[in-house]
This record gives sequence, structure tokens and C-alpha cells, in this order.
Amino acid sequence: MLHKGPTVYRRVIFPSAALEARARWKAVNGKAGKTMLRVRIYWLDDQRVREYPPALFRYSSDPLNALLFSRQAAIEEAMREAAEATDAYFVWLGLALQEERPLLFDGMTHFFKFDPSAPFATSMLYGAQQLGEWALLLRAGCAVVETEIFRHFPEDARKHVKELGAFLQNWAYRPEERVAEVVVFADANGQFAIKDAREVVRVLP
Amino acid sequence: MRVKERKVVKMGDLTLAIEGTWMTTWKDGMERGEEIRVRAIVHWAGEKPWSVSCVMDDGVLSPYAGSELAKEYGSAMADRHARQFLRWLGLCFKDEASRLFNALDSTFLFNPEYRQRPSAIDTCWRLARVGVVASTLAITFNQLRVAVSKSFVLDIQNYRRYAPLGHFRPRRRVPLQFRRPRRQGT
Repeated sequence: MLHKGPTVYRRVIFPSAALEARARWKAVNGKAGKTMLRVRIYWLDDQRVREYPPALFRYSSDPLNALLFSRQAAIEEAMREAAEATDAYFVWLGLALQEERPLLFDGMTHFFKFDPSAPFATSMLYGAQQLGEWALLLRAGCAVVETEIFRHFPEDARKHVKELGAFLQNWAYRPEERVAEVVVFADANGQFAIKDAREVVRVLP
Repeated sequence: MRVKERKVVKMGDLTLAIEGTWMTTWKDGMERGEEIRVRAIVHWAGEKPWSVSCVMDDGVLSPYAGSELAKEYGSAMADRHARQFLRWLGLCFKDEASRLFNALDSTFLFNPEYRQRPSAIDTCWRLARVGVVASTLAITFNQLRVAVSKSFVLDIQNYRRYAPLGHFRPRRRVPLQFRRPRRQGT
């Protein structure tokens, strides 16, 4: 029986910091499952790390339970579920960095059912609670991206933030990989550049 | 400085106190900011009380806070936020989700559709804040709901009124010989 799926990592590496989102599907009571997302920020210069409180992506009920007899299929399903959580995080982060506030708000409120037309006030409150946890993680992500870009690429920093947002929005959907990284670096001319590090998997402190 | 205002709701076995606290915050040895916190203290008869709290507002120090009106100002702010929290609880009871959404939005300004916002990071922060308040509200509301249903069911007047309608009748047990046979899988 599968209790925990593999963790799926997505990272953005900056010259002096790294933003990591990792998600994992986990069985609850052996019947249902839930997917949690954690966000970590590494400060590479002084070997410091900070982890934010985990946020629930969603509960998944039957599909994973039905796969108990095929371990491999269950692992793949759990990994797909976890990858979906990290995708959602980076897509919303991309929207936030591009200042697409209405799109971000509509997407998140729809997903978490924080909806004024909800039939019960309680369901709306639970949605708001879950959305709040994600919003905190997104804020941490936005803050580290803006800090790093303004620090290392002060010229046209706002433009670079938007470029990175657009890049992340397209980059997020890669369910086939367990660990994926984007590197933000200064190219040979010292200009802002983004690279999808296909084969680089770095060991973080 | 710290000022507290308290509103108490009693419902059957439950005593719920909503406590608004206005306080100044200190940094570098100076009073620099103010914070308003709402705490819901849940006390079931015969049990230990427990509480949940959330920060409703914080920011730079208001000019009133440094004057002789500080205490009155703090008391008014604490009272206002405690009453606001109770109003939201009322909306939960009436299941008016859209009014609750609008009330939360007019306090935390999180919906980017209606007003201009400085940045997405700010929107995220407001959403995070409303999430914390919603979680406190949900916990308090659940406790109150339990108290309401308990007191409602156990109240003899209600029992007399609704028993003839069959509201409290236990499920009728069908004798074994009259039970419908279990459906077999095909």
C-alpha cells in the first residue's frame, strides 16, 4: 500500500538565493489522499534556509485508492498529483510577477471555491482559509524573486521580473520530471538571462 | 499601551467571548506602530477555556495614539473590530455568503476587480490575511453552531413543539422479516 508518493521539486535558482516548491501526495486513513505544497527559500551566500508553513493543495479521493494493486501506477498517479500542485504554484507565481491580478484572483478563487455564490458560508470560509495559506506562499515567492532581481539586475528590473513571470508560466507544465530547475543568471555581457537547466540538478544546503 | 474590549455571547453550555485588543507595537525602543487583534475565547461549561485569535489590522501609529485620546481611540478601535467579527458571525449564521464576501472585501480590499491595487504582492498579502481571519471565523462559527443545535434539541419547549412533527423521532426499526433483501452485485 502506498502511503507517500515521491516528492516533486521545482526550483528557481538566482545568483544568491533559490526558491523551491515541493509537493507530495500522502494517504489519509488509507482511503483518501491529500497533496501538500511546501515552499523553501535558500540563501546561498550565508547557507541559510527558511521553510514556510505547508499549504493544502487538495484532497483526492478514489482514483488513487483504486490503484492499490499496481504499485507503479499508484506512484505515477501520486507523482502526477504532486506535479500538478507545483505547476499551480508556478503558474500563479508567474501571473503575480506579471501583475495579472484579476487573472490570479479569479484562478485562485475558482480553484479554492472562495466564491460569493457559495451555498454555505462555511464552505466559503474553508476556501478562504486554504487560499490564504497559498497566498502567503505566493507572497514569499514574489518577494524573493523581486529582491533577487532588483539586487542583481537593477537596470530594467521591473521588466526582468515580468519576463521571468512569463517564462515560469510556460515552464511550469512538465509533469514528466521529478526535479526541474530554472536558473536566472548574468550572461557573458552581464545581462539578465534565464535558462531551463535540463540536466543540472544541484544539491542545495 | 493596550486596550481590550469584550463582547460575550452565552448559548446553552457555551460562553463565547469576542475580545478586541488594540495595542501599540514597539521597535528600537519606540512606539512605532499599532495592531488590532481579535480573540475568540471558547468556554464550554465544566471544561477548560481555549481561544483562537487573529490580527485584524496593523500599521503605523495613528496620531491619536500619541495624544491624551489614546485610550479612547484604542477602546473604540478594539470595540469596532470585536463588533465587526460578531457581525461576520451573524452573516455566517444566515448563510449569506455573498454579503460575507463583500464585507470581508470591504475590510481587506482583496478583490482586484473593483479597485486599483498597487501590486500583485499586495493582493497576495491581503488574501493571506483574509485566510487567517476566515479560519478563525470558521472555528468560532462551528463552536457556536454546535451550541445552538445542542441547546435547540435539548430545550424542552422545542421538544414539545417539534416532537409531533416527527423531528426527534428515532429511526424506525423495520422487523427483520419485512426488510428489503440486499441488492446483489451483478
